[in-house]
Amino acid sequence: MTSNVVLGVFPDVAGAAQGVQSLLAASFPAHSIDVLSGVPYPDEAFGLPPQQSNLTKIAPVAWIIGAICGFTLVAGSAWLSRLPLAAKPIVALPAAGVITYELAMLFGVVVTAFFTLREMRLPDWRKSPYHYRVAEGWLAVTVQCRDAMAATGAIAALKSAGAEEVTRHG
Amino acid sequence: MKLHPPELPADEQINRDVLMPLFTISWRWWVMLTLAALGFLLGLAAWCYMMSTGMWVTGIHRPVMWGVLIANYVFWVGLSNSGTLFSAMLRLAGATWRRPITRAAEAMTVFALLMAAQFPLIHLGRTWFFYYMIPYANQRGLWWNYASPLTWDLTAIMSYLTGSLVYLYLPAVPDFAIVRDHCRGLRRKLYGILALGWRGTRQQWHSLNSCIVILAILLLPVAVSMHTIVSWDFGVSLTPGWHTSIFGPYFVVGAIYSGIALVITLLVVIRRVCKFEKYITPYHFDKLAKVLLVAALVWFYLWFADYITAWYGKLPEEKVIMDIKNAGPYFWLQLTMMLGNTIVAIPLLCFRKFRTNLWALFALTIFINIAMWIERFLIVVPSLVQKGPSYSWSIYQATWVEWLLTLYPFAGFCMFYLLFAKLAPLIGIWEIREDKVAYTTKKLGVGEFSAIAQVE
Repeated sequence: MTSNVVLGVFPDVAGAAQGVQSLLAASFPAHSIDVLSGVPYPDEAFGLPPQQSNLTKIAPVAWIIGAICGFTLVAGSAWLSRLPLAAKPIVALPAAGVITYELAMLFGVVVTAFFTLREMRLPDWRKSPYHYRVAEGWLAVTVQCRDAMAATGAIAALKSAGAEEVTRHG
Repeated sequence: MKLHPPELPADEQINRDVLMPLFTISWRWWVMLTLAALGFLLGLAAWCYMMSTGMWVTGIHRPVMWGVLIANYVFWVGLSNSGTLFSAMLRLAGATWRRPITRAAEAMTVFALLMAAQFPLIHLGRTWFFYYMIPYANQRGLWWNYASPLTWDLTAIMSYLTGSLVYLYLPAVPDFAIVRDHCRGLRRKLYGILALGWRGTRQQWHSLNSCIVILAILLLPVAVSMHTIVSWDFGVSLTPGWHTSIFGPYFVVGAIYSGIALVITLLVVIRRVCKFEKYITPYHFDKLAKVLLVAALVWFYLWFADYITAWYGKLPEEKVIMDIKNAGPYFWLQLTMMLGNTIVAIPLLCFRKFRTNLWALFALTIFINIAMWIERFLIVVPSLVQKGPSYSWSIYQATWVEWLLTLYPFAGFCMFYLLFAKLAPLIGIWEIREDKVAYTTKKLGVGEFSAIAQVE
């Protein structure tokens, strides 16, 4: 998916926002534009629609699955190796509660981490468009172009917005 | 004198300053690493010796079946408790002064917990049977005993260690990408793997920030539960002095107290050795010391609540333990503990001049942790020395094997921390750079004040 990606590098957030606005003005759809930065900026800083994340939905589901697994492990083990004693339950609920709670938390953490990496599309071993100056506090605006003509338009838009360097990938 | 957040230099300068310790190795680092490795190996040798000869080489005997080894376990679990817990609390509270502190605190949790987790194995004696603790249906028809607090311990440690590792690693990914962009050759490949191909897209930042908040929410109760479960190792037994419901919160607060003290100790050293004076300033130490003061006050409150209940009740079996501590063989340890944890610490921490004097704070935090180690010892041992019929009463004396096994986690912790300092930036680069985005100056009347913009 890196074919025809144009990348413009800007020294500050104001320049990058200008670059994004130029691209939007040149009729590039918002979903094709991205900003690479060394720190997180609010989406509003660039005038782009906010990003979505499903992690807040995934984490509770993982928590519940973990709780079910934890309880099944404790209750199942107790049930399989039963030791019937008068007036004593087979499954000790307070003890089961502790294990259930810990496994629920463990599942919540592990699954959230896994889906975070998925949402971030990491690990990414491809040579995706990037500029080393992002690590120095600069910002890079990237845009996915349909064809070579659109790429030429994107280069012109980014240059007119004051990009210090514009490169084409793919 | 008013304390302000530090003025941060340009981004390139921040990179240079924070990455400098990764690319330079001084002879002092080698000396410290060699000493730490030596201590670690000595401890390991003592452990091997104990395994080959048997538990009789330690001072534990009937009725004192838990000694220094369990005190070490409780102490190190306590230290580990605080790093991630503290970082998560500050993140959720939106405390912007946390930024240069969190990485060092989170790393502290991971290495302290790695050390703590070895003590149940050491205390097994026959360590090679550790797999009995893994829940699977084995050929002997044995199953996990889920009603045992030691099983709860294993589960809690597993959850907290996994969570803390994730909580340390994921926020460090953008920093690994910065290191990757600043080096060449094999090192670039290594950091390229650690950075997972991070580019800093909007989606990556958004997901990372969401993830950090969710993990903070999940790890806070895990941290609390972990040390509570350690307290239940004692609380659910019927031993006088242990069988008390206050042990859960008392252990958690004690863990926070000793953990924050260690965070301060580490930060004083890191600031000096890594030359981070621009980033970790008296402003941060003042804040940390205030939190330490609150922890000290709450710890004393809980300790006193436990003490006065036992003292007023005067149950014979509890009075015996109090007498041993207050006037018997453990009097000096009890006094040192009270001096370190309250009598010296609380008044000193009330003064800002003291809170911003870094070397004085360093000395105090070391004293606090010595006192906290003694407190763990006084929880474990005195309750056992006069347990059961009087003919079996005896004083516990730790042997050289146990003292080497006490050195072992200290040396191991230092060794792992020193190695980590050469692998990852000890200050979250992107987090302090985020400060620059957030901080702005606001004109009010004729004055200019620093204000924090809502960018998170």
